[in-house]
Amino acid sequence: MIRPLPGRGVTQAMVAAFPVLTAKGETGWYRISRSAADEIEAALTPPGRGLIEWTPGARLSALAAAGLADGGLVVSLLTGSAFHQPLSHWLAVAAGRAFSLNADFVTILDLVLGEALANALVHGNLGVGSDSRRDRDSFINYGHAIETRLGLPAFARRRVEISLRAEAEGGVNLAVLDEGGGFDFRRVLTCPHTPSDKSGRGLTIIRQLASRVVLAESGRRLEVTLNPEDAG
Amino acid sequence: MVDYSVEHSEDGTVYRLSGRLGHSDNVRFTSVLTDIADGPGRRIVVDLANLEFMDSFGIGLMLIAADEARRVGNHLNVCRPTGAVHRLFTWTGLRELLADGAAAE
Repeated sequence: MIRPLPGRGVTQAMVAAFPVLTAKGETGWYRISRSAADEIEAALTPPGRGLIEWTPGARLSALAAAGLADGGLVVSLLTGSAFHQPLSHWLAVAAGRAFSLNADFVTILDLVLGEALANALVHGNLGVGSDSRRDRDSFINYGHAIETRLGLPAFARRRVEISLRAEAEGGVNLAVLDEGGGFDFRRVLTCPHTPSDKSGRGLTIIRQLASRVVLAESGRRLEVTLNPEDAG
Repeated sequence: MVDYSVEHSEDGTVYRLSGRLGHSDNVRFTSVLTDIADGPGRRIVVDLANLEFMDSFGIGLMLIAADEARRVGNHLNVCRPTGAVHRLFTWTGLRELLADGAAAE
């Protein structure tokens, strides 16, 4: 079931901005149906400001609650529900509409959100490393590892939370939180990359395109600020 | 989600990608990589003209595909990216991976 949830710092008025959602034709705890996907997209269409997939004890982070109070957008889903959805596209389009962003900015936001979400879902919540993607065989094994972990509740029920809010002078701040084991982001940030690397360039792309990037909570929280000139 | 069509001819094989190529397409692309590694001597084209979105996962996939083709003696061209996909090749310093180094008209 997907439904809005009041949490710490979230008022009833905020919750009222969330459409009530029920995943029709749900096939499992963490595998949502196409009709549910349609409802997620609809939840990001005004007056919707996002949604929270309900599980006992689920809460918005303080960061997301503050963003919501500030007119932002929030989506909080379990990994199994989020993985196969074009969430970055839906969120970028919704942010473009809510924050009056131009098409180039929406494109950059889509890419940055996509990279941030891939890191949070694959490397964070599913715990599958990108260094296993070097050639065809390791690529196939990488895919199998992802599908296997999506079938395991211990991984698939880990949550990812994405929040976006408008910044001064047309910028956007986005935050992505996962529930994985974290990573040594200082090592990753200083690790040299070559153009022929098959993996590991997601964070590099984000840093290349963003005005500000902050990693915290052992890499489980990524905050990015994009400004209009970043889309130039 | 990415979609693709395959066109076989005497000149080789053309894959025309459309939609969005991202991290959740790992299983979907396995058969393409397997086919690309079937050689030698084939000319393979990956046409990105109708691909709306690609992330770093897709870039990695193109590099693996190029390696696989080269390994078995096939020749692979990645061509005609547009818009954000073309810009991604520029941002990542991989324009030389493109057959003509240019976007689709």
